[in-house]
Amino acid sequence: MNKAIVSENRLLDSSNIDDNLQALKRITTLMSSGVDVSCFFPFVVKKIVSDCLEVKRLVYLYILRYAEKEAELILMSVNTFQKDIKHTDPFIRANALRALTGIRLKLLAPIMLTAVQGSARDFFPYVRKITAHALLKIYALDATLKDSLIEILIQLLHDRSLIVLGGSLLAFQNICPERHDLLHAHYRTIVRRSVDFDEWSQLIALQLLTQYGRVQFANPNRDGKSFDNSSSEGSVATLKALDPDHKWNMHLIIKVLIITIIINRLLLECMHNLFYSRNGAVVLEVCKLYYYLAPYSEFSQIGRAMCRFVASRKEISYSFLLNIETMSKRHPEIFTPHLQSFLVYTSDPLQIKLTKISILLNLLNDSNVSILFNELKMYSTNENPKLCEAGVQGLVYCVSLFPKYYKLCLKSLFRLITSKKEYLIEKGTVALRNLLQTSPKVDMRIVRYLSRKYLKGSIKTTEAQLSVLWLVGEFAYNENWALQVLQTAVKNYKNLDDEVKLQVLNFVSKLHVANVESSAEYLEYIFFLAKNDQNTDIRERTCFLSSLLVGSLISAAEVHKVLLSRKSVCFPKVPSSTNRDLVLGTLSHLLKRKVCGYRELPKFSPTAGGSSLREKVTESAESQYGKIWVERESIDSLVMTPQHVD
Amino acid sequence: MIHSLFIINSSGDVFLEKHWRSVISRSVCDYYLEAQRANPNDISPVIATPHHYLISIQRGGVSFVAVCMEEIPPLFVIEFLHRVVDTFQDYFSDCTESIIKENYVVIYELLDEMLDNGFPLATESNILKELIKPPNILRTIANTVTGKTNVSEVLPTGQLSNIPWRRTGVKYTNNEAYFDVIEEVDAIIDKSGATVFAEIQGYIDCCIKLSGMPDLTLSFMNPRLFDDVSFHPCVRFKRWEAERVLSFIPPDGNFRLISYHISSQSVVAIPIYVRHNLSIKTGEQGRLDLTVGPKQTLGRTVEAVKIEVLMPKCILNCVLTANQGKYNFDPVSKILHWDIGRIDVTKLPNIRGSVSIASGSNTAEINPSINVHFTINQLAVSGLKVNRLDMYGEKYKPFKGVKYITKAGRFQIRM
Repeated sequence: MNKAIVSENRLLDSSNIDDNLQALKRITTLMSSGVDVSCFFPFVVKKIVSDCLEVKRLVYLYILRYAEKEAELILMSVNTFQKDIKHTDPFIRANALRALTGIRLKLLAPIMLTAVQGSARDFFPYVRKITAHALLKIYALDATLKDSLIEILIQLLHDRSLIVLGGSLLAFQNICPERHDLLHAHYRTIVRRSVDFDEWSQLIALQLLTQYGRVQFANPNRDGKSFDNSSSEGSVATLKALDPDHKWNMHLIIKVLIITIIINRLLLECMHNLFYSRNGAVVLEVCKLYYYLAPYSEFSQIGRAMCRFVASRKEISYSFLLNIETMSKRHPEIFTPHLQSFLVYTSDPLQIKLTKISILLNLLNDSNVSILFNELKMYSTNENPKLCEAGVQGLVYCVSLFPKYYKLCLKSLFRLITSKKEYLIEKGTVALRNLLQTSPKVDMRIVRYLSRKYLKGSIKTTEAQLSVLWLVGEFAYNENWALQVLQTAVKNYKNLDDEVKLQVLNFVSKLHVANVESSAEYLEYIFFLAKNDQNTDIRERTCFLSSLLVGSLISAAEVHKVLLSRKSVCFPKVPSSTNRDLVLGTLSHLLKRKVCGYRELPKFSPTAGGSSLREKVTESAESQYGKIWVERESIDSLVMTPQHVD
Repeated sequence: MIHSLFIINSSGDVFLEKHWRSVISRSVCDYYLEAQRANPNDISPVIATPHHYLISIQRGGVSFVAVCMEEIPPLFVIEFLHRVVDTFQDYFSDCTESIIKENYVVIYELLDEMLDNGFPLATESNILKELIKPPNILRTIANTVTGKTNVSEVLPTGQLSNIPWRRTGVKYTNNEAYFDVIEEVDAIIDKSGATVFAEIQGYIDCCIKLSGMPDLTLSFMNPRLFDDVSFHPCVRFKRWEAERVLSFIPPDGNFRLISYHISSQSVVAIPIYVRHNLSIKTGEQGRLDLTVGPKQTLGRTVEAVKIEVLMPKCILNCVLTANQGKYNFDPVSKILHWDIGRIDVTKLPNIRGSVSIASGSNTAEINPSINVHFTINQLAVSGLKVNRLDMYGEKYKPFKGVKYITKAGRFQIRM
């Protein structure tokens, strides 16, 4: 290594640019493959004065990687940075600014601020865009400079160039997302020009607009009805209903309402174009905007756009499916026309398969239940236990909604139980238990069949045993053969899992209540064993049950009530892989927990809601009111304006 | 924002790292590697670790793992990573481990140009190619002789104009525009041969080498076919909504102009059928018999046919004879591959023989499935036809060409 250092250093010291480049390239290669090359720092940093752009860029790349370690040496090169930021070539200016603000030393923040103040007035849009990016880097270093940064940001938001505006929206979102007052003046430019932004700026613009729209606009779906800009009479009526005492100035309220609705219209109409984007992230963000801001009547567009990406690459497909799952829970009507996009392929990864199944269950209705039931039946025999479980649960869920499928479901569950695969038996038994629990009249033959299987020893897994014991204890405690089941359970008691042991305790108590004489011996034996069990839960349960049964604290009838009253029915729910309260499309939504930096979606501002309303009239509506009727025409003219014209 | 990117090969070596903010130790990849070891085909795109979130994609045997530390739309990261791979493919014609290792410096520079402080800066390949020239042998030689470098000395023109996807000053001696209409049939066919679900995913990929600033208009005979479309940013949405024509100033080189989706609501022709018979009884030898034939192909031949049968786990081996093509059976993954090639209508491809079954296994509930691959040249199965291509803004006459291809996308038959 030492030899190598010497030779690289010699090359770097050489006045020949080719030698320098050769050394820098080798160092970059080492750096990118993860080798620590910080030992070259003093030699590389000297080369920052080079006139060759490629040498400069490689030096910048190197410096950004190791700057934190070598703060003192960096300070020596600050002069060169400052000189480059004032270079005549805009490209060098931009690169120097990027590199300088990329150095994560709080010490340099004031110097960066001065540099940014100068370059915000640069003649070239590209440099100004880099400036906008620089703002948020400085903010991350030193949050106390917020006010001066916002000043520059305001200046950049006024920029006519789209690439600068895109960059400044990013800075806005990271520095002061709550300052909606800064956006009012630019709102319409952003909305109309969003089509011409680059994809990533579109993404930021959409996120901002969704937040902005929630705070500034009226809820288009109030009272479950959606109102449109054409039905202004309808909205007046709504308002009258909301404000029966005419406490507020009706005239003003109507104005505000119409304004907000029209603006909303403009937003939706312009954003509609972004449904055509090739970038999945943009499309998802538009769908979100529609989902959170549009009247229900326009939701159908969401479904079509989102389903296009279900057949995309697996990671993209997965992200879309998770969002569809959450949306379809509240608004299945968006996706029911596209039901078939969610059918499971054998080649899908497991997560996608499971998400698809829960979407299918969300979409279940009268007209598609026959197709879906057959699909679910197929999934329930799959070789993958998880998929099989989802299929079986789906079948039971189907029956809970459509009781006429009870017999068919029973039949397919029986087929599972008769197979030889343990997991199939397990899933089948658990599902049967759920099914019986939810059905009004318990079919004794099934319980009898299961107990026979249990006696034969073909029910081995914990979950399945639990189900069988519970079923027999709950519904067949009076039958003679229940004792046989008890016998078998007692025989194997020592080798059982703790969970099953608990269930056996319950089981034996239930039988005891119904049939005191014949089960007394078993009860005594098991209680004896359980009292000395290692597991505290089991010991405690024994204590509880023995005081209930053996002691005479309460009457026999009451004991019967405690143990054998019909348990309340819990309908199986569709297993959900996401949390529907979290904002769609976020990392938090995907992980089902709030991640650092997560922002809630604000609630719709109640337009007819006291003082907040009037404040808005003064600040936003009043200032926009003059232009608002022009707005309406411009919506129409907008359709005609060609794009990509500055 | 994306903090760091790690590129990992299939055996779990981290061979490239790039940090856009402070350095994150590569030990964070251990969480990913663990998932990769557990099941390389089923890695969750998002993995949460105590302090970081790993968002990853896999393409061509290489994994790209982005590290984030706070709230971010996961899809944004995923789309970006795919764009990174697309760019590498555009630069080096492929994106494999050895290519990345050969081009460490260019790749490192590219990554730095594409993200600034964790947010995308320049992702259009036309702009990037002006900033950092793709390597080729001629240029490498020229550079050594003249002492020039691969890095641009000036600001790319695209960054200055309103058409960021196209550079100015493009010149060709032969002006050509080629359009490939590619349609992929996605379908699920059930046991009895009935179509459960079928739809078409279509693309138009272009290779456009035209001088100057051509303004193109592409129109279709039957544009109403499209159910849903997405465009390259160069396409003017308004013209599409009003007239159903594609009007655009193209980027230079290869790009995907439009992807479209013809969904199951319209009738989709299924160009191929598979007659299958798999009879197995417990404890005996089973028999397999497959015949493949063309269905609705509008008189075209079906080519490059490949069949993959995903056999149930209980099958140990297959001894078959095919009257055409080669077959092999992988006893580990339980997949039977049968490479058929072209289908001759007079003698339909058939494969038959016996399969051996593990003793004691239950065969009542098995549902194997068949994946089918095929290609049909000179046919767009949806019936889509390009009407004409007009060029405005330039004087010369370009050479124009359209090619149609139909392929199987995810074409699955349940047995």
